[in-house]
Amino acid sequence: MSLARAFVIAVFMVSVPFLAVVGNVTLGAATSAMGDSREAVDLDALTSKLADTKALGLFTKLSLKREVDAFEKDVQTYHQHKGDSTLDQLEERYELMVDKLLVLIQDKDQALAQDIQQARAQVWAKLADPDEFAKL
Amino acid sequence: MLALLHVAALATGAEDIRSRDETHRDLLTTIAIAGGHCGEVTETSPERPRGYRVSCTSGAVFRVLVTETEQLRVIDVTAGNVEWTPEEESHSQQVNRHLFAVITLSRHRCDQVVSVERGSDASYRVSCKNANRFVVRRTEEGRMLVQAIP
Repeated sequence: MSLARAFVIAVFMVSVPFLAVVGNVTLGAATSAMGDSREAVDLDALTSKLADTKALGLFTKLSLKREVDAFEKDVQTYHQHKGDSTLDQLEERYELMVDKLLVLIQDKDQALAQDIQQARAQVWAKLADPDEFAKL
Repeated sequence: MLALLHVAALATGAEDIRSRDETHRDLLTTIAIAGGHCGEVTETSPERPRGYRVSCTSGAVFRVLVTETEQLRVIDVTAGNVEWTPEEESHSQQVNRHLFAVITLSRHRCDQVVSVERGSDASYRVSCKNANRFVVRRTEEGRMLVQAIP
């Protein structure tokens, strides 16, 4: 299972091994839109919050999954040096997908939105790295 | 994938007890993510094996279906049964659709994105077919913000 899929499936509610895929993340080592945070993300807690959130409905979750499947395929194609997408374009799409998740969640589950926001840079770093992506 | 099926099964059971408003909101969000302009839901009717036919204040009618393999299908009936296929969209089509969803889900009115300008700070200036214009950006706190441009 890819990290991107795990990320969004996690948002789906998750009994998925998101932690096993991502491992523990210390955001201090990553560039984050939240700034130079030194706070470690407790992904166990994040997974629990994702599992419990009522912010997303079934059809919404399935539509996000459909998008992530298409995105994951495009990232794979990029790493195989095929297709037309550039890394910048893939990053833009990734960021917009996460932005959309935030819009869906931020008013209904603020703590979860903040956790997703904190994890986003780390997830992208793994997707963009061909070696890391191949391990997923 | 087993986890997803598990989740879907749970959600399906839960669907029966969801309120009408929650179902409408879920359907509206799904249609927006697929790039469809709905406005508000005026009527829904169940479709077999699982899904809904959705009538909108925009005049559009959509079918939102879940296949046996848990694949979501969104079909714009009024546009001639055009089906949402994110796998076949160009980069610019995807960007436009994501921004359309962000704007619509933020409860702003945009019937269709016609132009997008990206700022140096990763913000976007978006123009819609109905002449509404917006700035979409992320705040320093990480919140998504959609501001109408007068």
